[in-house]
Amino acid sequence: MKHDLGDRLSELEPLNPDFRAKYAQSLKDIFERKLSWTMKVFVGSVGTASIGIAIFLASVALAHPELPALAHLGLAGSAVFSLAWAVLCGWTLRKGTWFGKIQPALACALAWIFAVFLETLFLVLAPLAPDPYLWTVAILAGMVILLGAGFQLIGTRVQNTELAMRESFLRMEYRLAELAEALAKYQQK
Amino acid sequence: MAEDKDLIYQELLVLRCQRGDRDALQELVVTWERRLFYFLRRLGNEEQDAWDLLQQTWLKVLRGISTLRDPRQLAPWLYCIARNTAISHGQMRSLHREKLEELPPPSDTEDDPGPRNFDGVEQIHFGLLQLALPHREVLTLYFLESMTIEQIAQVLEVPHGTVKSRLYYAKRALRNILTKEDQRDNEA
Repeated sequence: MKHDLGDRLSELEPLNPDFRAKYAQSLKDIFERKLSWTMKVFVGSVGTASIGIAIFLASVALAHPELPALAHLGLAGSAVFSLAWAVLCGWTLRKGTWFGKIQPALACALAWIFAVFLETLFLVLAPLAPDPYLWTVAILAGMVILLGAGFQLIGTRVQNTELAMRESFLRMEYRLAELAEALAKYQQK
Repeated sequence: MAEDKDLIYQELLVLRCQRGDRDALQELVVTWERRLFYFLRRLGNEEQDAWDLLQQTWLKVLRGISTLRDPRQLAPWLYCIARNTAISHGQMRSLHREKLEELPPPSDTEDDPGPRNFDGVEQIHFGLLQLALPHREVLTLYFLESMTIEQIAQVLEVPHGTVKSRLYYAKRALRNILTKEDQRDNEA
């Protein structure tokens, strides 16, 4: 390596094994992204609220059999969505760690699926509505949610794709540099 | 050629860290922790404090790695974070009070003692401990990473001219210390 002097110099620094072990343990916790207490309380609250909402929506659907089938579908879909959030929160709490690659992508996907579901439902229900004004507002509100979730999802995907592409190019570039180095050594022989 | 390969690998490592690859983060730590620890120790920190500061440094690196636009600037970026973490630590702040009188930059004709003029890593290690803090930090960066004037200026957040001047006088001070030490050894 080019920093040979740096490596040799840094090796001269004596290390206390106890301090080092303590540091290594702390570092392990940092890189595992263990949830702090405030984070745990926040995730727990979101999970509990999601369960509460799911129960409420399911009970409304069960307590009002007179509602049209589409309304039941809407309530059931929303309850499932709330339960999915609760499962994600429960899983995060059980692991006690935050995976930068997994949870944000799952949350984005969940938000997008729900927004599509909600907007589709509003569009289907709109022609049946007695008050066109109310349903226009509902559709527009659904559009706002849909667009917000869409932008979030697209932003995350674009960022990931861009990084993945750059990584692929760099891997190729690195391979080429390796080949060039090997070729130079071969020519020297 | 090998230098290019190292730079590409470094860029790749940063990118993998930015994508949240835990193995890449661990590799980053393994690659840099000894030298960052050495730097933090040279900034006048006790060993336990240096470990704590290094841990805080990694926490900041983890939070900020996605903001690093030019992965080729990884080394100055890491040292800058480590130094700022140490500065926010009380002990280093007090040590920084021992300010040096900034001397004028040397003329181009003056003899510049390059790194090869210092023989023996042990000697450099010993000599660094005897220097005043501003000289010590500039020379530590110079020896540890072979950083350019621009990169050292970036880490220390001072103008290029100041780095050039400090580097020159620091090397001279180090050479004086080592010469005196040699003379003492010869007399003994």
